[in-house]
Amino acid sequence: QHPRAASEGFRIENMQAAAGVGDLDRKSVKEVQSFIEHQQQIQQIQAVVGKITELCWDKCVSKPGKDLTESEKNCIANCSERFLDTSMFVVNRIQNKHKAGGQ
Amino acid sequence: DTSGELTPEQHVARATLSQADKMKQVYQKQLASKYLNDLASTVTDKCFLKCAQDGMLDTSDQGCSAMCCDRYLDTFELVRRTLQTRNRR
Repeated sequence: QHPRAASEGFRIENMQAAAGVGDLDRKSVKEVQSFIEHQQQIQQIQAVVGKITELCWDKCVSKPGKDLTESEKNCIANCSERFLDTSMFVVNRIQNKHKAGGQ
Repeated sequence: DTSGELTPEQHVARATLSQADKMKQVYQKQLASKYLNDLASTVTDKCFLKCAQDGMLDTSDQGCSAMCCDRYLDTFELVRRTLQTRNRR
């Protein structure tokens, strides 16, 4: 039984070879599995931050300088919050439409 | 980078790790590597668009590309902090 590294080409066989280990016992498998799951949760958050950064950079920073200006910082912070508001709003609205109209 | 070249200190540290720890280390390293590659790719795209004007591109340490790269990372950090604060509310 091998831990399932579920994504993006982190193949267990390659990891085992790179780590210089043979087959793992069940306890170790669970330990690595749990670690990977935790890391992937962190990664998901990182991905959201990355996505918002891209969007808000485009909206808020026209000409990069030696520091972010106060105006740019406010814009980025607001942009981030508004993105999350939008995301929640859209999810709710689509779910409600789906319930009501069966789309 | 999956080369087996380690410093003497790393060899000693490695020798005392469990098999699971070694796997975790490899995974972490691969993850970090992918993350940096993705980030570099994004920043390159963004900063090329912002900085390549009239067919000129300043890639000096004080130039547009450097400032753009640094400001983008600042933006990333600001977004992260904003989300963290929001999450606590």
